Amino acid sequence: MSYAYLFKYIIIGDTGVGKSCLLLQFTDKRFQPVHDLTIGVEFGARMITIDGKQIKLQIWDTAGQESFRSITRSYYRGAAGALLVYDITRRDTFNHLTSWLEDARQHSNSNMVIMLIGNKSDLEARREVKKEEGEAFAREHGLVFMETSAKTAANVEEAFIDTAKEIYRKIQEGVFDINNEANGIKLGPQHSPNSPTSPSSGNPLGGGRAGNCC
Amino acid sequence: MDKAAELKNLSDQLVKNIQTEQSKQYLEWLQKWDCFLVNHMSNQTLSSNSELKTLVRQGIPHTYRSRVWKSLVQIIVANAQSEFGKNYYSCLLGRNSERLKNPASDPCLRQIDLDLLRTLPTNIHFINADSEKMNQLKRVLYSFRFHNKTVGYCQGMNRIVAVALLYLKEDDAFWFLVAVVEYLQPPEYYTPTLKGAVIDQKVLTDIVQEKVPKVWNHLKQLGVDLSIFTLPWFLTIFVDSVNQNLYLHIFDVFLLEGNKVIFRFAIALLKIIEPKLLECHTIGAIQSCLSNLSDLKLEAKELAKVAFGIHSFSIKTIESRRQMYANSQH
Repeated sequence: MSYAYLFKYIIIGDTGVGKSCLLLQFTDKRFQPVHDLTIGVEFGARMITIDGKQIKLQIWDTAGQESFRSITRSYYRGAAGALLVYDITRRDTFNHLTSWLEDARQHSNSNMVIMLIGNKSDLEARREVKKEEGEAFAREHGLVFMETSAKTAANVEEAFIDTAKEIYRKIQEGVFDINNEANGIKLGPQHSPNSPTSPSSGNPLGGGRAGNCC
Repeated sequence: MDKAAELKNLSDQLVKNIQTEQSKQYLEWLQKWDCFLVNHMSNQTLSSNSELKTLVRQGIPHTYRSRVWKSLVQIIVANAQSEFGKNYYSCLLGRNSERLKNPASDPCLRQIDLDLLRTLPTNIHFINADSEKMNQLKRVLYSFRFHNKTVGYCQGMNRIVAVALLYLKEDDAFWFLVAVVEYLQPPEYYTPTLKGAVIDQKVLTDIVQEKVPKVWNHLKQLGVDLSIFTLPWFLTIFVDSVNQNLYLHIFDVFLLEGNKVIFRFAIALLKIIEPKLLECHTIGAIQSCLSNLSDLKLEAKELAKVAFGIHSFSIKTIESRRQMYANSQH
């Protein structure tokens, strides 16, 4: 399928916060209460439309255990967006956000859009982290914030799509250099009929050649 | 339609299994095992020799897997067992019962709890949190955490124990894990930095360059880092990366020959999917090809044949490269 842009996303956060479930809900529109443990990384992709343009999201879902941190760091490279996820029913997953954020900032490009996500909003009775705390953390660190439920699908579309909108806005503003792949953005194949406005000539990635996006 | 196709597949598979079980080669293979076990297995102890190696490379029959796995593990951990004593596992359980009352206080135990239901979520024994094997899995991992405090618990170990529990009793499964983590895999595979496992991915990439050069070149051109996909192969010995028939066969050989065979099977898999990989022209296509190996229609014996047909595969080369990468990390 053709697209105007391809954005690379990475999903990070403590183990068991629901990263893989968010991905599955977004790509397959279903919830699997018991998901395989992610060791290393798993992938998902979906096409979305922003401003009339087809955008392909290529999503890297990472392992959350501390041991895998040194490995996942290398995946940040070339990511345009990151979903930083915690579990509203587990305070410790919220407490670890600072160290995740440090990692993300240190190993990614400075323009990477980071969306903070408080997942499992359906488990209100077991809530340990107030919504206001998430909002405050996001405000303090300049992140976009949302509470989601991978189970009920609440806000899941919004989380992925709003992140893309933010990246798209940065492209329009010229903040992102789309010819620099390290930014995690790739232009779609040049001859795409669905993306008449996609920039083409002189683009080293055009012509349908498969470039590396990571 | 999907359901019909699924049932058709299933029935094809069953018919194939029955045909296999009635085939001459299958019966000969079983007879060889019968003979071997009669002649070489006394008092549950197996004598290791070249005949065993040849047999195990062809896979252990389902009916004998419990016996043979138990014996292979015992050969490996014999010294440790005599050092710690035969009742070591029950001692660990007893000693830990106090600490286990409050698992939330220990990050490793908390992690284990989080991972139990995510171990083999499609296996009947590990679907229910209260099932017998699930409780065994939990106790083995908890005990290991206090047995080897340097390792504690690393994700992936849960799958190894679950596979062991399909064939072994609880205490044997504990020793199975000890054998894998402390003897069969190189040092620091499951420690908090995964240093040993990370180094092995670099070694593997070198071997891929040598043995499957087209794939290596192709991945390089697309900018794909192979280790993203292969790390779980090494950490879990392919559990859940390939289908169960394949990984059980890989475990058979791994228990006898150790870590080196993971390299062989990794190269064999890449050789087998080479045509598919070369047809992939985007990183996304490569990702889906390498992440969906469990759909691969392949007999375990075919895979083993490719794996052990690879020539000049010396442990010395692997060791020296490991050393090289270990030194370059400092």
